[in-house]
Amino acid sequence: MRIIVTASQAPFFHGGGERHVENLCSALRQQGHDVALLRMPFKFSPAADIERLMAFCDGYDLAAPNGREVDRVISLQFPGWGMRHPRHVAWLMHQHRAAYELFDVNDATPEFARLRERIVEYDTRALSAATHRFANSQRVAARLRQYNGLQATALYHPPPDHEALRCEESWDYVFFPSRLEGLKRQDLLIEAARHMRSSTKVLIGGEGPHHERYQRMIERHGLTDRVKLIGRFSDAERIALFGHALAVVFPAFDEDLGYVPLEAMYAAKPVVTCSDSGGPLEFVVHGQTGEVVEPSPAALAEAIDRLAADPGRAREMGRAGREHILSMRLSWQRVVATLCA
Amino acid sequence: MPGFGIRREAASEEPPPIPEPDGGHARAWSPARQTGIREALADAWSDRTTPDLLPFLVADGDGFVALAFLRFVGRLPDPGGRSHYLGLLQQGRPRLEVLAEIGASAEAVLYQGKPKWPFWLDLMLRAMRMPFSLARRGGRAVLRRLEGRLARRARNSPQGLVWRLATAVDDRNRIRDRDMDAVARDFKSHGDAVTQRLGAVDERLAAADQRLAKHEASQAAANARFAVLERDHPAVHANSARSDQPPGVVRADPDPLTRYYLTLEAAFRGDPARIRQQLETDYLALLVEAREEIGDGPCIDLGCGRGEWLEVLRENGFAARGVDLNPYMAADAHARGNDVTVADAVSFLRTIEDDSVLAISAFHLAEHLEFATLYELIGECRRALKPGGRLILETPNPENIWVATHTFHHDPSHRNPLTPASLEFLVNHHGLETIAVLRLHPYPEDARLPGQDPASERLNGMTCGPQDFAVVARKTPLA
Repeated sequence: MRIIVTASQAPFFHGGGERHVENLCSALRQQGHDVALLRMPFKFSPAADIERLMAFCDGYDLAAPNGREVDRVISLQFPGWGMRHPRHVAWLMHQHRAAYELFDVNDATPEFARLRERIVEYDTRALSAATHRFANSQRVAARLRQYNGLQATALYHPPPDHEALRCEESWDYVFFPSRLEGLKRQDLLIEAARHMRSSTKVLIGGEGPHHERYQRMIERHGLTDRVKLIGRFSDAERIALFGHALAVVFPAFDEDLGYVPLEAMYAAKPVVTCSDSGGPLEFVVHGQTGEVVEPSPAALAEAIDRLAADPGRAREMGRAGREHILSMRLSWQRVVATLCA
Repeated sequence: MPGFGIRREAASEEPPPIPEPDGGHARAWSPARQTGIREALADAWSDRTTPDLLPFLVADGDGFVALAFLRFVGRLPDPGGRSHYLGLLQQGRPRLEVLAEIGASAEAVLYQGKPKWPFWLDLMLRAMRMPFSLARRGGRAVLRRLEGRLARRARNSPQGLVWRLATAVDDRNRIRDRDMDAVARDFKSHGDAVTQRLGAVDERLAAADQRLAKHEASQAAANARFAVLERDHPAVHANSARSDQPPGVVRADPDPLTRYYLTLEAAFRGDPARIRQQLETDYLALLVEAREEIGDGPCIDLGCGRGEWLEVLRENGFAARGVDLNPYMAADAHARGNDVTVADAVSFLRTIEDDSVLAISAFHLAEHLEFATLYELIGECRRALKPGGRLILETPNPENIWVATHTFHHDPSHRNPLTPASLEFLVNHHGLETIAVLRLHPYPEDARLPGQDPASERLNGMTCGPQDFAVVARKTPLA
C-alpha cells in the first residue's frame, strides 16, 4: 500500500511523540508499505499561526498528489486529520491539548478562546469524516467523546525497545524517567521524599525546562542525599535503571498514554501512579501491579514506603505487571494490521 | 616501604592515556564512556580541596585505583602501579590508607599539593604511622570497620546507586550482545528505508541533470549574445586576449549588468573616431594654452572609457593617464597603448601628489556620481592640480529640455543632471576660477523648426540647443 502518515512537528522538540511517529513509519515499512511522512510545522503560539495551519490542512487533497494515487492516509495529530482522502484513518496520539483538557477559561486570552472553539469545530468535522477512528489509549478516546461527541477505539502499541527490558535484583531506589516539566509533576515526587520514612532513594531521569527549579527544590529541602536528577541516560543505562529499581513512579498529570508504566511492567517493576494520571490507569491495577494513589506527596510517600517495607510484595506486583502486559500482546504488527485493514 | 612513591615500572610499555583537559581529572574517572548519568556524577564529585571519599568507597578495586590516580596525580595508573595497589587491597589494606599513600606520593604533592584529609582520617593515619606494629594493626582494623560502614552508606546514596547502575552496564556483556542484536534488527528494518532513500537520490540526480542541461542551454545563449557584443565591441576581446592587462582587469566573464552596460554604451555612444575628433575640436587648444602658460605636466582623464581623449593628448605630446571603474573599458583603452588604472576617480586622485598635474578632465562623469562624491572629487582635483592647472568637466546640458527630460535618461547609471550654474558654483567653491562655461553639441540645423519668429526661436533654443556643456576652470596661479 502507498500510505501517507501525517503528524505535527514542533521544531527541536524531542519527545515520545517524535519517536512514536518514526516508529509507526518504520513499522509500516517493515510490513512492506510505501510510506511518506508529512509533518506540519507546529507552534503553540501565536493563535493566528495555529489558525493558518488549520486553514492550510482543511480540505487539502491527498488523494493523488502529483498523479500518484495514495491508498490510505493515517493521521496522528491535529491538524493533519483535516486533509482530504477517501480512506483517511485517524489514530489520535492526542488532540491539541491546550484547546481541550488543558484549556483554562480564566487563563486563556480572548483570542485563544475564540480559536479554541474553531479547533473543536474543526476536529469534530474532520474526525467525523474519518474512515476509522482510533486513539492511542482509552483516555484519549474518552476525551474525544467528551469534547467532540465522537467514538474512537483504543489501539495500544508497545513502548520503544521493550524487548530489552528485564528485571534485576532490586536496589533501594525508585525511578522516574520523564521530561522535566510541569505536567510530569516531578515536584510531587521530590516533595514525597520529605515524607518518606524508608531509606529509599529517588532517581529522576531526563532533561527539560524545569531542571533548575527541581534542582533548587531538592537543595532547599535538603534532599540531596535522597533525590538525584540524573539527566540523560543511554539505552543500556535505561535497562539497568529500570532493572534495578524497587519501583517505578509515574505521577504525571492526565497522560495520553505514558510509556513509562508500560516499560516498568515489561521490566517487572511495580508502578506507583496517581488517580488523575490518565493513560497509566488503563494498565496499572491498584494493589496488583502497583499503587494508584491521590496526587499528593504524602500519598506517594506512603505508597513508596509500603513497597520498601515489603520487597517481596513489590517483586510480586512487578511479576504480575509483566504477566499482565505480556498478556496484552502489544505489537506493531497488530497495530499496522489494524490501521491498514 | 621505602618512602611513599608512586610506583612505576622502569620501562612501562605504553605511556598512560592523558586525561581530557576540559572535564578535569575528576570527570575522566570513567574513561570508557561519557553518558548523562556519568556526567551528573562527575559534577557531584568534581575535585574539592577535601577529597570526597564516596567514590573511592563505592568503586571496585580497579576503579578505585584508577580514580585515586586521576584524583591525585591526574593520570591513569601505569600497569605496575595498578597491580601494586591492587595487591595492597587484596592483602586487606583499608582503602583509605592506600588512598592516603597515593595522595602523599611525591608525584601527587607535585601535582596538587598535600591533600587535606578529614581530621578523623588524618588522626588515624598518624596513629598508623607510629612505629608499633600493634598500633598499625589496630588502626587498620578500626579503619576497615569504619570504611565498611561508610561504603555501605555510600553505595546506597543516590550517587552510589547511579555509579553502580552505570558500572553494572559496563560489566554486562550480554547487554552489549543485546545491543548488537538491536543493531542487527535495525539493519534489517532499515534495509528498505535505505533502498527507498537510494531511489530518492536517483530522482534527485535526475532533477539535477535536468537543471544542468537547462543551465547549459542558457549559458550557450549567453555566449551567443556575448559573441555579438565582441564583434561590435572589441574591448571585451582585447581584455581576454592580452596578457599584460592593467591591474584589476582579471574577470573573463562580465556579470549580466556589466555586460548590458557595455552593450548599451556601444549602442548609444558614438563611433570612437568621431568622439576623438569632437574632443580634439573642443578641448585640445585649451590644454596647449595651459602648457604654454605653466609648463609641461601630466594630464589625467577621469572616466577615460575607451581612451579617446588620452590618445588625442599623447599624439600632441602630453603625458596622459586615464582611470576608469569599468575594467572592460579600461582594458580597451589599455589595449590601445594608454596608461590606464582600474579604480574610482576619487581614490585614484588620492594617490596623486599635490600641485603636480597640468590638467584634469572628466567627460560625462559628473552626472554618474552622488553629489557627495562629486564634491569630494572636485576638492581632490584642486589639490592635485598645479597652480594654474586646468579642470574640464563636461556633462549633459539640461538647458536643452530634450536632454533634461529624455536623452539624459537613456543611461540608467545617470543620477542627476547638473546645471551649468550649479556646476560652476561648485567648482568655484573649491577655489578654482572659471575660464569658460562652454555650451557644446547643438542639434544639427536640419533638426530645427523652420522659421525665425520668436516662438520658433524659443522652441528651437529649448529643444535644439547645445546638448552638453563644460565648465573649464583653473586653479588659481601663484601670484
